[in-house]
Amino acid sequence: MNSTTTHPHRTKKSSVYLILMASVSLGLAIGVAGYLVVNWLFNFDEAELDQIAVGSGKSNSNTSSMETSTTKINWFIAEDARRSELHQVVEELSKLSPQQLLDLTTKSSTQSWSPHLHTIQEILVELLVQNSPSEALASLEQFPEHRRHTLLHLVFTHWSTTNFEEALTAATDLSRSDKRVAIRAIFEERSDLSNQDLSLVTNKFDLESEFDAWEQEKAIYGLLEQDPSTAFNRLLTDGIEDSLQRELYQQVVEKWFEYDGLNILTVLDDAPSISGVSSDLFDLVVGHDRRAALEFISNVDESRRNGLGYQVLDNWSRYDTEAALQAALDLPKSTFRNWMLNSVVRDWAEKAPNSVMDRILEIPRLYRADAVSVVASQLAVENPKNALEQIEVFRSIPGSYVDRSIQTILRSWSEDAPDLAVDWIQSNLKEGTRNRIEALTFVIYQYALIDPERAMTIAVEEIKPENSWSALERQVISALLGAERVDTAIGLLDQIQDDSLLVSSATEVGTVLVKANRMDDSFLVADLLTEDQRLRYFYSVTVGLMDTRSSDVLELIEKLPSEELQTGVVEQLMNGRTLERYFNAEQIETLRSYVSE
Amino acid sequence: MIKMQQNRLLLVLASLVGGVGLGVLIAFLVFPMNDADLGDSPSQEVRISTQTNNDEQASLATVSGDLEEIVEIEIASDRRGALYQVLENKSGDQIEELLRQSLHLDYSKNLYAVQRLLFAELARVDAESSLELVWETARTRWATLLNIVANHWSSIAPEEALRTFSSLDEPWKSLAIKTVFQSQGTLSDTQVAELADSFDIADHLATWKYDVRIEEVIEEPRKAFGLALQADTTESHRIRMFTHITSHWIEREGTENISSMLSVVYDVFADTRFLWTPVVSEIAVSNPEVVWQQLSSMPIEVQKLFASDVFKQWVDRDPVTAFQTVTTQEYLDANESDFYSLLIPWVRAVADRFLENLELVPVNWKNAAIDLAVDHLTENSPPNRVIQLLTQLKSMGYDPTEAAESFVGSWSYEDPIAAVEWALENLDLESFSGRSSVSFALGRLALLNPDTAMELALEQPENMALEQGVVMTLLRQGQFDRALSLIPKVRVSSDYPFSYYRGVNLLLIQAGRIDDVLALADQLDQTEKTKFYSSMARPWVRFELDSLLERLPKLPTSETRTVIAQSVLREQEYYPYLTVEEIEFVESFISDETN
Repeated sequence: MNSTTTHPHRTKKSSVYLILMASVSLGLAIGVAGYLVVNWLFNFDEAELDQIAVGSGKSNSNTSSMETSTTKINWFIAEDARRSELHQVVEELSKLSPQQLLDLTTKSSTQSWSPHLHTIQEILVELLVQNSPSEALASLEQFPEHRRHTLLHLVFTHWSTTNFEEALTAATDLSRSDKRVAIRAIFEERSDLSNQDLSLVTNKFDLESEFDAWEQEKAIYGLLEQDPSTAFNRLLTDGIEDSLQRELYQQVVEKWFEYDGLNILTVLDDAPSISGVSSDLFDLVVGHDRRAALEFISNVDESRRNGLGYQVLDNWSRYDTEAALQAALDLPKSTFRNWMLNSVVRDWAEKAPNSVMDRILEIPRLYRADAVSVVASQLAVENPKNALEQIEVFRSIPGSYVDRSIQTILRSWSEDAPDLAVDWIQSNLKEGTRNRIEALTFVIYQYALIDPERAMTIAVEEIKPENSWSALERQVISALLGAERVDTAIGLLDQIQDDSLLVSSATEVGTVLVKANRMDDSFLVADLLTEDQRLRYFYSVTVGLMDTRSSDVLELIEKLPSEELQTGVVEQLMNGRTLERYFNAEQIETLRSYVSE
Repeated sequence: MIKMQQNRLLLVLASLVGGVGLGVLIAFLVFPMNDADLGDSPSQEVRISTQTNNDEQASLATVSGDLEEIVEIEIASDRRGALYQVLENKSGDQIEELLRQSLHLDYSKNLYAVQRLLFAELARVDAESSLELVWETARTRWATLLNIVANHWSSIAPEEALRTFSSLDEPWKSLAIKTVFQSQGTLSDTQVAELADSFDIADHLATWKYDVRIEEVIEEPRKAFGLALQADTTESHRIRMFTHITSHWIEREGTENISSMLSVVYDVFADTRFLWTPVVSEIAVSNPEVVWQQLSSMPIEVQKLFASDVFKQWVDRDPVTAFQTVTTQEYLDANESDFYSLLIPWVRAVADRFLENLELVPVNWKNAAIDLAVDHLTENSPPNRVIQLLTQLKSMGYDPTEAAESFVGSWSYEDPIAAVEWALENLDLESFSGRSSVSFALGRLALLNPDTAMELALEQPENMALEQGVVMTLLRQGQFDRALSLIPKVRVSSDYPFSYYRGVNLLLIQAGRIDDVLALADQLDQTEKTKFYSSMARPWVRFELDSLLERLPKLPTSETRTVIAQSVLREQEYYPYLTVEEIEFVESFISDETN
């Protein structure tokens, strides 16, 4: 029984073991098979995707090949292809026809950005160059300049290694900026050629100046480390267009700065001006530490301090006005500091008038007048009347110079509506005051151009004994002469009451007349003057002509209506003046003949 | 029974699940996914081990060999493909090492092409190293390679690229930053602007943006010039924009119709201050004579504006014909006021043969030409050559006085003693300009040797007031202590001391040296003292107002206080420095003393 009882038990145990083993084995088989199936399926999907994306390249249909290649490119671009996949791109694109490559290249020029776009473009262009460099070159036309230049470089580096002379010929036909890139790529790539070989070939293609520039660049690099100062002087005198050497200048100056620090600022200032380069070099040095540069400049020779200081602040305040202002405030008390502060505050007021007005009390009092005046002129451009209404706000600011702000606004207004500006002055500023005359001085010039008669009447009426210093009438005459309305000016001369103003205004008119070959009319002007005034008039006219029209001076003197006038004018001309500076020997002899021994 | 069957079923299921799991595990261990993938990988073909550090050296040795083979490949795309295969699964360090090794290879055709690819690929995995290696190449290649690094770095990490490039020296900084702006595609405009601000490269961003906008309208020169004119940028950049627009314009239009181009330039630039110069020069540079001819048939206002720029180009090429054209009587009569601007480049062009050419200059312009020639020679030749020219001119009957005075000024920067001695012997010291020249040269000498300068000044007649010039120069340069030590020697002319006092006061007070000013006043007699005090009011109230208000009550005598208070109030009439309260305060010193 025991055995019987144990058998079933045993049988039961073996049965369980059997089930366990069979199930596990089956499970193992399913697991392994399942894994392999899934793995195979994944591989299959990927391979299939590649097939779709890459395209067969063996397709008979160009369209289909093109489509699959485009899909491939798009896929690589969009998926940010791994490095491991790039060689596949090269491989697959190599199978395309030249036309397909050309089409793809052109299409890629307008493709939106992706991490590998530029690499794909380079592969395409490289493949094109292998087939036909000139077609590759032509395919670059559609690219924006910066991309075109990178790809041009690629084209010409390859071209120059396969057919050097053909590459040079092609380069010479390009636009100026493209040509520069192409030639440089060629020179850079063919550093295996001796100078002599390179020189011979470049002469043949009329590229001597490009070769000279290349040679010069290498020579400068040879000097750069040891002697940047000499390198700089060499650049100045090498006869090569400076604008093409801008980057070379910058390298030299950077290296020089390492050796001599801010001291090179004065040397740069002394150097001849290099159009489009000089101010860059200055900014480059100053850009290392603008605050230190400003401090350095505060101690250079006084004759150049302000000029250099303005240059520092001009660029600085464009991007960071507050830092520039603070740097100027931190300078030790000096004339230089005052000029610099004035400059920064004015810049700030021009750039941000509202901000300046909000913080006007933070600006030292000395500079507030200028700041307010600049703000006023900004407001005047928008609406002069509104600007004038702001005057009371300005008046409440300690240090502001309200009269000057008014003048600034009126000057601006007078350019558009001089009549309104004149009316405003006459209605708002007290008669006979200095303010009123000064304000009129600013606007009468413009007003004379639209109503000369009334301008002269106002000028004459406004003058009182207490403001005889002003010259409103002369302003009217000058305005008319400036506008080439000399006859109108002549017509108004007789209204001028003041003796000296009349003579000086008449002189201005008379000089213009002689210069306009109307000497006879200058005698008619003299008829408006008294005898005493006439002598001063003719003398002043001859002085005005002497510098450049000595023969006219002689002719005028000869035509003077009396010997007395002739002698008087010549005596004054000869008094304390080196005649040789203005007249030749014959003319001097003639002049001397008018005066007694 | 049912329960037993359920147990068996459970056992079967559990065993199956376990078996499947175990099967998958075993299969995964025996056939890993990567292996399956790598099975088709081309990298197997190049057999490069990337497994362990120990293997790396051996691997690199193989790769180095491969690299030389790759360089030998003639076809560019094959070369590129092979290199990509070599680089597959390479780490940054390995690519860097490869690149570094390539830099030590002897030059051979295609080496540079391979290196460029290596720079590009390294920039994508370790841009900093790629950048560092740029500086190990020949300088002539830096721009090209930096462009490659910046281009690829900006594709991966533009912010990091900008941060690194912003600390480079020029021109590399500008070049690399510009490439990032052009090549990156992940940052928005706002992000770029914020980064530019934080890396202190806002000016580079602004410059690039202007360039982009110019490029957009480059086919419309009028619009492009307008944009460049309005740009808030540096002078150099504006000139570059003008030149670029013009050069593109000429390439497109040719030089057939210069006058219509000049008309456009006139319309755009007439109201500016000489900003047309780079444009007109660029138009004229290729054939200035033709441009001059076309300009001559244009309205007079256009001619007046552009003549000197065109003439300058012409005179550089053919000074004789150019000058003959502008010295006809007809031309001079019509353009007298503009002739000087033509004379300048001509004199410079013929400076070496100036005396031979002087006879070509119209009589009324000979002195101006002499001044220009002497100035030019002074800048470019040793002083003895200038002196020789001055002597020759004099012997020929010309009057080179102004030129000589100007020469003394320039010479005194180089050799003030020689300049002073020559000036004392050769200039007319009776004339104001002659005295000014000597005074200026003495001032330059004072900066080197103040005592000698003072001695020389005191040897001259008192009315020349040369020692005042010595003191003023030292003060202007900020050499206050030296100046103060010499001031007692100054012979103050009683005829016109005001300008001297005003100058001394202005410069000392602006430097905040009020005590020195008051001490100087103490050394003067009573009459001079009053003049001195009244001349210190303007700078004191303008530049050191707080000090004035604080010290006015403390000044030693009521008379002094009154003089200064009165002078301050007089200043107030011309320029409102003071508030109402401050005016009352200052007034109190007058009323107190006069009552």
